[in-house]
Amino acid sequence: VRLASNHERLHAAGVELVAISVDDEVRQAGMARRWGLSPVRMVSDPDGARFLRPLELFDPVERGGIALPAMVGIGPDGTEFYRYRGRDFADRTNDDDLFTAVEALGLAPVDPPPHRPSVEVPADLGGFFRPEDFAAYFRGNLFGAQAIAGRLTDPDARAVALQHRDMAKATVDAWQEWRTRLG
Amino acid sequence: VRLGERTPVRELLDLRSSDGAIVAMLYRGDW
Repeated sequence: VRLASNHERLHAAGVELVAISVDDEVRQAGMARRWGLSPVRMVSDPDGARFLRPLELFDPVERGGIALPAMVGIGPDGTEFYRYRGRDFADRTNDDDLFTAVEALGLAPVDPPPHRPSVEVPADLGGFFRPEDFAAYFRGNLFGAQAIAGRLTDPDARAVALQHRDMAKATVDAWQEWRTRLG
Repeated sequence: VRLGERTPVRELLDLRSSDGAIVAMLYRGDW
């Protein structure tokens, strides 16, 4: 959501966005519809064979095999210019590093067409994570991390808690901007 | 990684509609 809300900045820097998971295309199409993710091309890699395993960003144990939370940037010449791998499910870094790396490439802007799923979007989106729950989820993260940071005295541990707080705040902020656009 | 072979890098670049760069977000799914 954070990157989708910044897709214009990424496109202006010459970068296209894809999202990869083991979900099938129908599940991805439903999520993209619910979240208004048309600037992002959704890619299904059910067994991880195409992307996740070769990129060494696959957790074979959890839920029978899923993607590790990660971000990979590939330049037009095939050079990997950015890689971030989350330590756990809640570890999503701030995006400043990514934007710095992307804008340092000095590429011409791109204008990719909105992604349209090749499968039919499910009529009933009841089983999908609800956008209205998103802000509450990350606000909970924000205040929990803030409180824990206040209790910790070890500077390294405190830094981890504050980093998590900042991630949650950045995500809530991006969501509010995105929600405004969704209307 | 050598380009020209079917590598994940080549396959990622093939997902583009332009000659730009690509950023892949990997997520755990089941949202």
